Parts: sequence; C-alpha cells; structure tokens
Amino acid sequence: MNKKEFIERLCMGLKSLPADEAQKTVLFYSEAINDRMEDGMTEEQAVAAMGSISEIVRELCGIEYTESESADKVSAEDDKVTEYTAAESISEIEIRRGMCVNLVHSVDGLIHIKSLTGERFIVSPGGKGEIIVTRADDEIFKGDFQKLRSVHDVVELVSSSLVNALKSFASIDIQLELPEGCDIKLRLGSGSSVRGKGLSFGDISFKASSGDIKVENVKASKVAFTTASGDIKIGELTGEQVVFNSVSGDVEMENSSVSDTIYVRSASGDIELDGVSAKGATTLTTSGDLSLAGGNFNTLSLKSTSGDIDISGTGIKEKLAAATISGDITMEIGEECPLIKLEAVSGNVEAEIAGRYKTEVNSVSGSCRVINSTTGETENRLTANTVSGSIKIVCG
Amino acid sequence: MDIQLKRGILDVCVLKVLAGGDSYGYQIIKDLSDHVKISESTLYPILKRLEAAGALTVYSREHNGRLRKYYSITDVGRERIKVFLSEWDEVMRAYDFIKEERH
Repeated sequence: MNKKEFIERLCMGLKSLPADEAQKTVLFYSEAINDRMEDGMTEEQAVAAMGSISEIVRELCGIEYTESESADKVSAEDDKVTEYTAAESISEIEIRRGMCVNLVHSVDGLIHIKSLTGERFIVSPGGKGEIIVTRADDEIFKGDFQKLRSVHDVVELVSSSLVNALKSFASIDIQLELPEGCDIKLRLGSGSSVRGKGLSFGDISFKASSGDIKVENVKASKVAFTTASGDIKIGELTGEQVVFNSVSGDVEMENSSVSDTIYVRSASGDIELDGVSAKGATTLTTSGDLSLAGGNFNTLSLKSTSGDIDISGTGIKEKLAAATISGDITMEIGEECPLIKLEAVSGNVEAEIAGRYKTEVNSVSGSCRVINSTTGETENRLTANTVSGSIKIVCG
Repeated sequence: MDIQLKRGILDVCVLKVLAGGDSYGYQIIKDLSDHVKISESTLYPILKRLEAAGALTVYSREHNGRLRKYYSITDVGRERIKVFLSEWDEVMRAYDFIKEERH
C-alpha cells in the first residue's frame, strides 16, 4: 500500500472521531511515513511499519473496525475529481475562509461539492456525524488538509489552519452543486466568496463576511444577502422578497424584478438599484449613498443619515418618501407620482419632475426655488422641506 | 507483556526519551528501539494520553517544507518518571515474590 492509500483508508476508518482528532491522527501518521522515507525506507516499507489500520482505529476509536469495500473503491477511483455528495435534506452549508464558491445546479437532486482547482478530495461522510475531506495528493503538509463537517444537517467546509501556518495560502475554488428549487442557507467565512449564474431556488440566505456575493440570472422566492465588508452584486434576479444587509460593502442590483418588497440596509456601503422593479422598496443607509436608476415601484421609502439619495428615471406609481439629515437628495423622473415627500436637515433637495403637481416647499434658512408650470387642478402633491439646505424644484 | 503493565512502562519510557531533549515521533521510536519495541500505532495513543495529562507539550516546526510535531516534557512529566522509579522497588519486591520458588 502506498502512503496515499494508507491516508485515505485511515480517514475512512477515523470517521467516528471528531474532525479535529481525526485530522491530528492523520497528520501524525503522515509525518511518521515521511520521516521513515527520509530515513531511507521505501514508501511501501514505511507504510507497512505503521501497522494495520484496523488496529489503529480500534485503539483510537475503541471500536472493532474492518475496512469496508468503500475504502477500496475510493482509492481505486484515482482519476475522478473527488466530490462530496449529501442528501437534499441538508439546508445549511458553511464555507470557511479562503474559498471561491461557484454555484451551479446538480442534475441528480443532491448536493455535490467539487474542487475546481485540481485538488482532489477524499471525503468520508458520516451521516449526521462528521465528514472529513482530505486532499488526495501526497503533500498533505503543504496546507491542503480540509475538513467537511456535517452536524445535524449542517455542512461545513473548512480549510486547514495549517494553510495559514505555512502562509502558502491560496484561495481554493469549490463548485457547489445544489438541487434546483431547494432552500439553502450559505455562510461564508472571511475571504470566501460566492458566485453563480442561471439558478433557481426556493428561499435563499447568503451570508458573507469579507468576500463578495455575485449572482446573476437567479430565480428565488425569499432572498437574503448579508455581508460585512464584501460587495453584493446581483443581476437579473426574479423573486418575491429581497433583503440586503451590508456594513461597509456595496450593494448593487441590476435588471431585477421583485413581486413584493426590497429592503436594503447599509452603514457605509453604497446602494445602487439599476433597472429594478418591485412593489415596494425601503432603503436605509448611514453614510453610504443610494442611487436609483430606472425601474418601477409602487412605493419607495428612502432614508439616509449623511449619504446622498439620487433617483433618476424611476417610475413611482403611488408614493415616494425620501429623507436625509446631511445628505443631498437629487431626483429626475419623467413620470407622474401622486405623492412625493422630500425631507432634509442640512442637505440640499433638487428635483426635476414631469407632470402636474401641487407643490408645498419650505426651508427654514436655505433658499427655495420652485418653477411650476402646472395650471389647473391636480391630485398630485409634492412637498419638500429642509432646515438649512437649499431647495430647487422644477415641475410641469 | 501484560498490556496494562506495558502501557505504564512505555509511558515512562517515552518521557525518559523526552527528558533528554525535545523529539518527534519517529525519533522517539528510534531512540527506544534498543530497549523496547514500539510502533507508531502504539506511540500515538501514548503521546495523546501524556499530552492530555499535561506530562508533555506539543509544538510544530518546519522540516523540509513540511510541518513536524515536536514533543517537550513538562515538570509534570519529570515528576512522573520520579514517581515511577520510587514505586519500582515495590514492583521488584512483588517480582521477587512471584519468581521465588516455594520451599
């Protein structure tokens, strides 16, 4: 038996151990084999000196262990890209640090995890217990040891701390295949990012920390994207309800259609909704800017502290309310909106709106300029209020 | 050899090797080979047990582009050797008794 086979079989045998323990054990034996080979033994001799796997497993796990056929199968299928397959019932996947996840649909209704960058994994699934993934080349010490953990339907993909220890860290490309129409929660560790195109889900929730979330052409019902410092970029999404939460990352959504509401909240990240249509949208930013271009909404509620609010060419059927403390509000729309309310404290308000309006404009200390060519009766109302900011309204 | 007895003795043998300086798995096996036959599958549980008992500590160091684990004896470990030696007289008396041919 060569070293690779030995390690693979050992992994299979140790699956009842906690993943950390199993990892330590595998590293111990791998080191011992390397040391014996360095000392002049052949690979076969070094492996033979380790004793039998059944004995090792019996000693460590306290169970009688006979190597099953599946162990032989794993080592026999040498050319196959290693992948992990889980039942559809797994609804939460945690991808730890440093991985680029490519989302695609699986053809068989199961979840598969594959390596795209050539690493081959040996995966020992343990039902609801733990799963260990070992990259199947010999250089196990060069930071290629990986764990896949499945506890109570949560799958967790972990890149080894050794990777960091040796500073030979490179992000690992993973392909995650999910069943069409499934509900999925995806949690991404620092540096891990996710991207995907042409996907269809039930409810989805993606949470990233510093990595980006980038999906295109996605169909889902309830959607939640959360990021700390990573950016969120969504294109052509069709959904019922979309929630974005960001701290410093930017949120960009393009050419999307949401049947119910979009809710966006960001601290310093900018929000950009370009060609997005929804029944309603509520945005809340602190210092981030909000920019709305095109699209159609029934109602819009836009709030910021110091960030600017910019609306251009957006159709609003029922109501627009925009409020900021020190940010500026600028808008230019070509369609009538029955009710427009623009409020700022020190920020300026500038609006150019097509259609007939009855305007009510007030600034405590700032300048007010209204050009309203509306004649005759109209139901449309526009109010603009500031404390110290200036107001400029052109309508008609 | 009786497994319990052997286990206790091997624990101390490993500690004795480490008392002479930090070492790694295969080196420990080689150092012991003249005195007692031990393989990796025996050594690993011993090291695990001794680490859990606080008799040794583990650290990693790079060797030829890979990491190698080194084991280092602690005061608890040194005490273990002392206790073993002091108790050995008792074991020897038992040994003499067992070996003794009754008259």
